[in-house]
Amino acid sequence: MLPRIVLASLHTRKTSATLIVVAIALSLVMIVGIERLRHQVRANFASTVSGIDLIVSARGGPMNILLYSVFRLSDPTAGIRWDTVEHLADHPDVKWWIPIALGDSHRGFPVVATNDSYLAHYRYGRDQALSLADGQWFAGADQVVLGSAVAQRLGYQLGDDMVLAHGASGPAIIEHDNHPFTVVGVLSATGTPVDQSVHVSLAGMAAIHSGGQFRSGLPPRPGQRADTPDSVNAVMLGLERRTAVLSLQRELSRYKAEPLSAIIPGVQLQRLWRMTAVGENALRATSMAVLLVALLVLVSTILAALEGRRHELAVLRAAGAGRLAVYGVIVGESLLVTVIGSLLGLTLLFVAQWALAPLALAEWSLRLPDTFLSVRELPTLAAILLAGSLAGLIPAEKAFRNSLADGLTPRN
Amino acid sequence: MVLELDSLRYQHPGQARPFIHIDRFVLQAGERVLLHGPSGCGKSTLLSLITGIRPAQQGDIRVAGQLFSSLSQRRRDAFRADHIGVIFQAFNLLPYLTAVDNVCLSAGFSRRRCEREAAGNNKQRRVAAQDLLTRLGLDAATSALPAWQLSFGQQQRVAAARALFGKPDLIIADEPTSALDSHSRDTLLALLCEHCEHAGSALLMVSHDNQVADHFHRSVAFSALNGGEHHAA
Repeated sequence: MLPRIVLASLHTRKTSATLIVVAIALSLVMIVGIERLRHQVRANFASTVSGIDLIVSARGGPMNILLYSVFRLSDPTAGIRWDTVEHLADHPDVKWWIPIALGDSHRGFPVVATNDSYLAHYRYGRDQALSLADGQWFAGADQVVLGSAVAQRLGYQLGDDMVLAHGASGPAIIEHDNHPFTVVGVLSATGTPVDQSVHVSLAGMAAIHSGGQFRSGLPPRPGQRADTPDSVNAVMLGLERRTAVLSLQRELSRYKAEPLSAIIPGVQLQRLWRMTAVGENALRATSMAVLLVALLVLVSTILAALEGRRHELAVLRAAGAGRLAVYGVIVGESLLVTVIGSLLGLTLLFVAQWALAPLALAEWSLRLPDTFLSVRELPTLAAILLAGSLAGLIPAEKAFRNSLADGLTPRN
Repeated sequence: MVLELDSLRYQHPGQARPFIHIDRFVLQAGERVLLHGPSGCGKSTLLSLITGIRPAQQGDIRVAGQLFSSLSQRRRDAFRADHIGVIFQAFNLLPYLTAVDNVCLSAGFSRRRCEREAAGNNKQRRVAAQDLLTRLGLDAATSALPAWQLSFGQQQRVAAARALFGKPDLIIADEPTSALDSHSRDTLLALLCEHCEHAGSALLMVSHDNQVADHFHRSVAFSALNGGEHHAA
């Protein structure tokens, strides 16, 4: 009987009930959406590097090294000399090495000069290797492999020519237009900064900076090797044994020939989370405030409706409804509204994720979650439902007190 | 005795003297009594006390032998559901429920009243409610309408049916006919009295109108009963 009364009574107040449902749905979208985004950004960051034991760079702040070498978010420090790279490559503890030389860009996308190890050993996500969606990895100095987002945004096809600019960002300051590159491959989407990168060989990078003579057949400047640049910005290392990480890190910090820093990506990521915690907490506080407002709207709407429902409650009381039944009708209503609002919110979020997923991947290299509700979010949802039913308690008590004061017939 | 009032006092908060002050009033089983008096004299307050919605401050109220003042609010509510049917002047029904559902409302709070209609489950309850509505002159099609679509006279008959459903010991009626014309008023009262007789329920009706006294076994002036202060509301 009570559920029927709750439903029928709500039905007569469709408009206000719908508005509350929408308010609750939207605040749930905010809360759960922000939480998911936060989690996903973190997971995305964490999945950017996988299986890299050390990143070696010229001496500098560890966070800066992580940001520019992995995320391409910060300016690279000075380079490390090529003979140091060779020293690292020959080190007995090192299983594989990936050189990273930065500094050029193509229409805002960073150019990464590297070698074949990049394709073979770079890992992201859960130990996933890079793969080519189209074409092949570069083999010559004038060949370029594009990240998926670069190819998609700039509309390049295999065989297209492109020109690389010196300088990391914005419209080119100096374009190396005497050295056009040819697109030979496009990588599959990874949801990491790899998607936003333009990959060339070290020889290609060297050629750009040596004045582009290699195509004209002239030899490079004296003292410069044709196939490698003078320096690279970082070297990512995979070790034979993980246990050697700390000792190698120590060893490299005392490297005589030039000052080096070696960072463990996982450790720096942990530090990064601690740095971003303030911002995340601010986001969380905002979404909590939104929910609080929605619940206040719920309480005030029920309270406002009570005046008009005095007769309804008097009829119920006269028919024998006690405190429990009055509470049942009022709290049942707020709980029902909260449940419907929550389901609507989850559905909206699910649809939004589905609709925005391709855009987010292409624009921000962010993989959106494809879940309707994850176990992690159950406490949040439970808290919302609890708050929704508690929100009914105040009006319920007021309704019961009204009915005592009104007696059998409420005054108009 | 269905209803017994002894030295009953009720005082509104902030007032110096009792609003209700009744030394003794008794209603026998099956008896129909009209309590008449002008508006605001305290009739509705008295009914709230008798139904146990408002707690009495002093004195004894016994309904079907049960002393209300010894019961908790919760038990009073349950007792009311079991033993008392109520008809209001207006706003008797939940407008969004059908006539049948409105009749079933009181049975929804009382196992005793279900048993007295031999209506154990929901379906039997609805059949019994429809039977009663039919006897009061509402056909099945009308009874399936939401209450707000019914005419006022029909609504009052549904209200009567809800009060009568489950044959409670006492039916309390608060000016149920005041918004009806004299013909409808007499029809409704005749039906109500007939079914009270049939159900064996006592009827206590308050009205400002003494013209309907013919339908009742006795008629009592509220002013003669109540020794308290009288205020016009």
